[in-house]
This record gives sequence, C-alpha cells and structure tokens, in this order.
Amino acid sequence: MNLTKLLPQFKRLSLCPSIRHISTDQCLLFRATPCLMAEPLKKKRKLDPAVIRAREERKKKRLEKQIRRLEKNARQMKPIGECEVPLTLLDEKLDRQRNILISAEVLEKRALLEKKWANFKRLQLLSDLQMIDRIIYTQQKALDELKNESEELYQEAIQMDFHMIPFKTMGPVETRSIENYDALDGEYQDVSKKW
Amino acid sequence: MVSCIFGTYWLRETNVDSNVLPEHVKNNIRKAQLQKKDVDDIDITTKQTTQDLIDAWKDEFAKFIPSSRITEADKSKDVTSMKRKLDKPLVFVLDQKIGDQSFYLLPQGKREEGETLRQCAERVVKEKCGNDIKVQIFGNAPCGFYKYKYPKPLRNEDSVGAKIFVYFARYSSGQISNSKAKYQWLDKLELEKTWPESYKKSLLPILFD
Repeated sequence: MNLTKLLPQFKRLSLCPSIRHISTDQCLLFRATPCLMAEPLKKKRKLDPAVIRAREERKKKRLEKQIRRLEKNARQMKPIGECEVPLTLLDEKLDRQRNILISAEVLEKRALLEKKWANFKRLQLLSDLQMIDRIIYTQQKALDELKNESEELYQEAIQMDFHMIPFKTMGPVETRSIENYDALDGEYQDVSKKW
Repeated sequence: MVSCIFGTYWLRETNVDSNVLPEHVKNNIRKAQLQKKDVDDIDITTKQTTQDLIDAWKDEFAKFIPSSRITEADKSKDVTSMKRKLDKPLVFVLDQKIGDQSFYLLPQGKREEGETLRQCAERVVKEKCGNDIKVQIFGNAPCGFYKYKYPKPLRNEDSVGAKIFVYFARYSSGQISNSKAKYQWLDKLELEKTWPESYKKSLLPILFD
C-alpha cells in the first residue's frame, strides 16, 4: 500500500491537523512500559560519620555565633545618664561616707517622731476613707431618688461619661506660681550626647 | 502641719546622714588635704572656688522669694475672688431668690422637657455665669440630692416642692461674664455659716474635705 497517497486523505478527515492530542487514560488501555521510565541510580557516596558530625558542628557554631551577634546588638540600649552611678563615686564610696555617730537621745527623738508620723498617717487614711464613703453614699442616695422620680433620667444618669477618659488633673500645688515671673534665661548649649 | 514639720526634719536628719558626700564637698576636703602637704604649690584662686560656689548658691537661694500662700484676696477679704484660701477647696455660690428671700446657694435652675439632668446642669452654668466660663462636670450621675417645699402661698395642687439634683463640676478656665450675678467663693466652714439649715444638712456631705 502506498502510504504517501493515503496520508493526505486522512489529514483532511482530522479537524485539527497541525496539533496532535494524546491521552494515556486508563479506559483507553494505553500502557507505557515502566522499564522505559527507569533511570540508572546514582552511586551513593559513603561519608565518614566523623566528617558529618564535624560539618553539623560547624553549622551549629555558625548559627550560634549569628544569634550571639544579634542578641548583643538587640540588647544594647541607650544609656540613661541619670541612672548610672559615675565610676568615681563607686571608687570613692568608702572615702565619701559621712561617719556620723548618732546619739541615743537623737535616735530616741527620731523613733518618737516616727511613731507620731505613723499615727498621723493612720488617722489621715481613716478620715479619707470616711470621706469617700460619705460621698459615695450621698451619690447613691441621689441616684435612688432619681430612680423614684423618673426611670428614663436614671438610665441617662448611669451612663459612662467618656469625656472623663483618659482622666487628667493638676494641682493643688505646694507653692503657688509667681505671677509674671521672668525665668532666668541665658545662652544654652545642649551637651547631651546624641545616640 | 504635722506632715510639714516631720518632712523637713526627717529629710534633714536622716537623708543627709545616709548620703555620700557630694562632689563639691569632696573637692573641699581633697584640697584641704593637699594644702596640708604642700602649702606653696596650691594656687590661691583654685582653693577658693568650691567655697565660692557654695556661697553663690546660698546667695541665689536667699534672693529667691517664693510667692506667698496668702494672696491679695485673702488680705482684702474679697470673697468674690477665686484666688483665696489656696489650701482649701472653694465652692461657687450664687445669690438666688427663693420665694421672697434670697440665699447664697449653688447655681440652680429648672429642668426643661426633653433634656437630661447633665444637659440641664450645663445649661444652668451657662445661664448663670455667662458663656465665657468653662467647667468640667464629673460624670453623668448627680452627686447630691436636696428636696424642699415651696413657701405656702406658692404651693398648689400640682407642686408642693422641688427636688434638686446636684452635679459636681470643677472650674477649668474663663471668667464669670454675667455682670448681674452676685457670687462668692466660699470654703466649707463659710458655707456652714451661709447656707440654710436643711440645705446644709443634705448638701455639705457631698463636698470633699
């Protein structure tokens, strides 16, 4: 049979002559030979266990070093000048001690004063607590009365006041400010260290 | 008073005892020791500086006069000024007519239909003291309550008396711009003298000491 004659005829029959589709669906019973997919195995190189251990160790060390370096940089913070005791002070600590001998009389006086102070603070605390109790009581009384008067107004009154959050307050101050006080001024040079 | 005396005494006594010598005192001692060793080497000017510094500080401190706690208003007994009795909480009271008498009472007004008590309090402050003043009302809940009966001729079948709910507010800024208002800033002791008996009984407990 002459194939060259047959081929153009079949070509005309097919819808899409230039691209051929192939399927290996199970139902087509199309089988690829497994042995053709095979590939010769790579020869496994046998490594000395000591070498492996050394390599792992090196890897671990490198990681550790990196971590240490990162930690060192991360932990470093701006020093706070006021919180650090100058080294000269630490060196001369013994030298700088005031060796004051306090007489028994003075100690006695101080102890008495401390007792007086403790008593004063106790009474102060008590009176404060009483005051707070009193104020809470009067407010509760007012709210109860309001509830009797009008439930609606009561509901309004017990709402949270968001103007008070966050709460900010100032004073009373120990000494009042001097009016029109001209603060001493001069030329300043900022010597604080830049970080 | 006790706290003041204790504070100063205790600080002077114990705090100084436990502190280490500061730099300038230490310098003084150092120089005195050096001076003992060799008198000639010491420069007279440097020897003086530390002591000079201390003297200068003392001078500066002596020159500084803190403002007094007794203000002009205290001296002139001006009860309309807020800058009196700085160490005491002052309460704003307004001359108001109740029936045919007038008293110095907390600013009060009638609640109108449709407003909450808080809104009413804000409105009353504006009405009585002018628009300039700014006050901070603390919370939506009233802090005090007072009930009274109208004088006999004013009573009728609908109303025999009034209930007053008091809100606590603090002055924040501004002036009292209502020129008609007769007002006073009084502390608790003075309020005890000016307020009527029943008003005092129910409203004095709401004040902080």
